[in-house]
Amino acid sequence: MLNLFKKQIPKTVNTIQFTFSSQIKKTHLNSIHREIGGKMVEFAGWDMPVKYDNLSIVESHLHTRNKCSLFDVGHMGQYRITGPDRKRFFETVVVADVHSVKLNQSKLSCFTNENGGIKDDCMFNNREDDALFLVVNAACKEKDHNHKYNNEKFKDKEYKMLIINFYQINFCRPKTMEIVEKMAKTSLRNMPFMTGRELKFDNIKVWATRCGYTGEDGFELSIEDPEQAKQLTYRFLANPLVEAAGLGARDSLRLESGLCLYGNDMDETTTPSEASLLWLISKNRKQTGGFLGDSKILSQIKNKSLVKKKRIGLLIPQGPPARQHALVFDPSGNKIGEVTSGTFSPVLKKGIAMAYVPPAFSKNGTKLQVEVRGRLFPAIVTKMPFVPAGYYKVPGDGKSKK
Amino acid sequence: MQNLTLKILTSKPKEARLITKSVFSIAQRFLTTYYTKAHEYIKIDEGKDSGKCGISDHAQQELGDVVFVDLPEKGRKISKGELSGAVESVKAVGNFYAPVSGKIISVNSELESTPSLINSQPEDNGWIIEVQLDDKSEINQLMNPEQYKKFLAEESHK
Repeated sequence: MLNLFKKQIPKTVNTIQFTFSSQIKKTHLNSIHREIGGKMVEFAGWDMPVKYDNLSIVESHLHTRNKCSLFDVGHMGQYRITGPDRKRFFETVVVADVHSVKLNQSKLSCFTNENGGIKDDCMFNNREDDALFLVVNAACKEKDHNHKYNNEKFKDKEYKMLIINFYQINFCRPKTMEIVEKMAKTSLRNMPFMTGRELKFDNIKVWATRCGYTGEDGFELSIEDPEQAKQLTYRFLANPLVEAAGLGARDSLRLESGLCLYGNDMDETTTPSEASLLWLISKNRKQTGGFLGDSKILSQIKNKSLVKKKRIGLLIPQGPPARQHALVFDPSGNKIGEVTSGTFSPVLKKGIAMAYVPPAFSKNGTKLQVEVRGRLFPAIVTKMPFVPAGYYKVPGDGKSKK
Repeated sequence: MQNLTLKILTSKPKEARLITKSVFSIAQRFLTTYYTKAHEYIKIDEGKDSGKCGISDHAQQELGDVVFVDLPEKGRKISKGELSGAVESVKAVGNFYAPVSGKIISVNSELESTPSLINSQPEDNGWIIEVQLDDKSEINQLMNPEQYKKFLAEESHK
């Protein structure tokens, strides 16, 4: 979208519309990170903990899988979209069928550009207080915000998109539900995965969504008042089962769970078909389109031969982890693709990666090779998630919810 | 995330860590450890012309959980500063440069099954290669433990 407009209007127009400070930004939990031994790094312009002194990344990763971790995700972009036309507006920028999303239900979706590429991925919730609650990537905040100005179908009167400053903390399984239930003094047994509701921690009112980026059961808690966010964080950290976790564990956790990192595993040059994210596009919108780049995206759905590359999972049974930009070869030694994210899986104790290869090589079980420091190592195309997901299912609810 | 990896490799500790006590006590007995500015070490017996090389305690702390070690071939001739292996943690890759010139007379194959030895005993059982030095005077260009300690302190203030 921005590229298209560059041709017609001076580049500066976009930047005047919305400028962000170039100074490093801090979430309201920043002082807590420092206090409890966070090793701070700059991430997407934010001062964030990569890990904490008391646990190594692997230990923190395993603690999250086995007990419960607290992540500060206050750096994510958060918006509240209100107004009578909010759903119609939002459908022009994302691929989801916004109208069919039930009350208090969350949905993962993506913004697209005019070439059918993915502008950002996002999570939104259809809140009961007549608003869409939207969470986007920290690094994409600015461009997502500018995106709406480029949409001339709607005028500001018909919808409002406001930046809000909520502070989120996120926990994971399997102790999470117990811990949150005990503190909020309410049962969460009937709260399905990917839904939101209000919770009260004594005097602290929180908007909670049951979701996460680790492949586990989790809650994202949004708190309007920064002081209350800090207070609640201290209260959770006082629980011996809860450890603070940083970006390091977050990355290896999401990769084990087959979840994409925007900028690595998908970007403006990859379409939902190529990124193996077609499931983000609601059924009726695969027919009707109506989002940016729909002609390319829909034609790739109808004619699979138009898809030249596909995102796959790779398991590297022996050898070093293959990291971003490591080359992928077929068994005869022809270069066929590139790794977009790769690490060592603390659970499987093997290298795992995501890569793009031609569809002919994308079938699970296909034997490929990855190059690390000039040497080739066997890699097997593997169904993701690499580690089974622990998303919550309401007891008695036969169908598992995705 | 790529930026993140770089950050870990280049970030400075809040305060310079001291080399573990056990290393000092061994050093006091018969061995002296010498360090490079890239945080490799060679531990050498004053009476011999060979020594075990690895990455310093400081380097392993910066890298975090070591999950894979790329060992060079035994018998290979290396020159000082030559890339002679790699130490990989979950988040980052640390290149291992030869601290001295010479011939690799053994490699620590224990690291193939237990790479975490580099975290637990970096300057002891977590050694990477043993080198027969071409020229023992080369160690004069390296830092002794006192100098390395000072170097770390200076680095952390940069």
